[in-house]
Amino acid sequence: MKQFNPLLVLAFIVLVLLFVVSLKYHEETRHSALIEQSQKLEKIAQKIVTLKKTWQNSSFQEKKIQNFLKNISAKHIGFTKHASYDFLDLDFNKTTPSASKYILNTLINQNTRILALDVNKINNSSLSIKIRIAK
Amino acid sequence: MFQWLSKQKDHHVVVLDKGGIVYKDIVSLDKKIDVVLLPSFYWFVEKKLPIRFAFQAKEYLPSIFESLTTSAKLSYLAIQKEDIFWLFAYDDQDILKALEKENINISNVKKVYFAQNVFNDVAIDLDNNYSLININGILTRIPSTLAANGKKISQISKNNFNLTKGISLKRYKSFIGESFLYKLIIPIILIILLYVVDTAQLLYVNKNLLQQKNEIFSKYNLPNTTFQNKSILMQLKNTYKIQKNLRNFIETIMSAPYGTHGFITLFKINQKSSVLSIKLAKASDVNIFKNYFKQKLTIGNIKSIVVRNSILTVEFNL
Repeated sequence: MKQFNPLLVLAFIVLVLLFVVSLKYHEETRHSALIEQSQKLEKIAQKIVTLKKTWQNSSFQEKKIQNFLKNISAKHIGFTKHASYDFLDLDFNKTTPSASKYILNTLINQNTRILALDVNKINNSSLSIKIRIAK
Repeated sequence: MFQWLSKQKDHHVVVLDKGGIVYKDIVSLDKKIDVVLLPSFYWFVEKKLPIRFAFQAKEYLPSIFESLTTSAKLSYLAIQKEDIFWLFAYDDQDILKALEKENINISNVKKVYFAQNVFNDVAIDLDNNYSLININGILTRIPSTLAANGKKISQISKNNFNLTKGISLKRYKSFIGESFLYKLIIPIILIILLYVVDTAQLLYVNKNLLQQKNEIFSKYNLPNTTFQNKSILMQLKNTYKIQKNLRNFIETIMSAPYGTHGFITLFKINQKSSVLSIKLAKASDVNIFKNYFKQKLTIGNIKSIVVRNSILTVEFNL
């Protein structure tokens, strides 16, 4: 005569209920953790993309340099000895101190990775700049 | 089939009276047994009822036995015999106590039967000064002195026992009613089912989320692992920091109070150091530049300062 104590059966069912509830709680926690992780990873990916666009984009960099050269050659008398997207060798014959400062500021404010900078004679109406930037 | 035969062979019967066991076909009681209860353990009524099936008698039974016994915790059995019903009332705990008294382990009891339904003989001598007599269809236990000589119970073959319509005793007394228990269990089971469905759904959503999470980097054409991407991000952030600091340094150098105090003749920057040469207007102007660099430089520190022929040369560590 196999019989189970009804109270034991009730206790077992309550245990099952507790197990199911805890399982659901675990999954809920996992769910929110997964959402949080996904958002975090999305943020990382977007940050990488943005930073790469700014600091590791050679075509973008070339365009910036060209624009810069176009801009300063229109405003200042001088000549360019050599220019490529990773190296600039610029000479200006007739500049004022403020113009020299403007040229330098404009140059360094481009989103390029400056590896080396060489500036000569900034105040006596001539300016020579050599700048090496990362590819 | 052979299994069934061996089961039949293993089948053992014990007949129990209030005074003790009156029949058993085995010596030790540690095997599975069927128990036949004599009338001293139950109340019996033979009745016609306005129902078709035995299970429908459930609602009539308590009121039928109400006048016969005052015991409140009775269980009932109805057996259909053609157009009449055999109705039994019994006290589970009373029977359990008797079994316990005879050292019969309740878990060894397969089923319990009522003598009324088991014995077909008219008179049976129970070998304990009592006999079972069938009086008007009702099996009654009376002293043997009052009964005619019946067949001795030890002489009856157990194969002649009609072991049908047995009952299972309620072993557990519950302080809450059985029906209440069922009422409690059913909603709990429903809640469990709801939770199971909900959890299964959540599991599916989580599985999809996990897949989407793994596809985030490939969406942006980046390496697959978080570790690799974190490393890339760190590298980029580092580049950003270095370049920002470099620009701040250049800006600080370019914003020095040159004007009438001097002008830059040379400004060199490489990876880790920088050299600045300033043509001074007056020798005393050197302090103006020294103080300026000490106050304003937040990035890079002065490595050396040399003044020669009105030219101030400052070396910086970056």
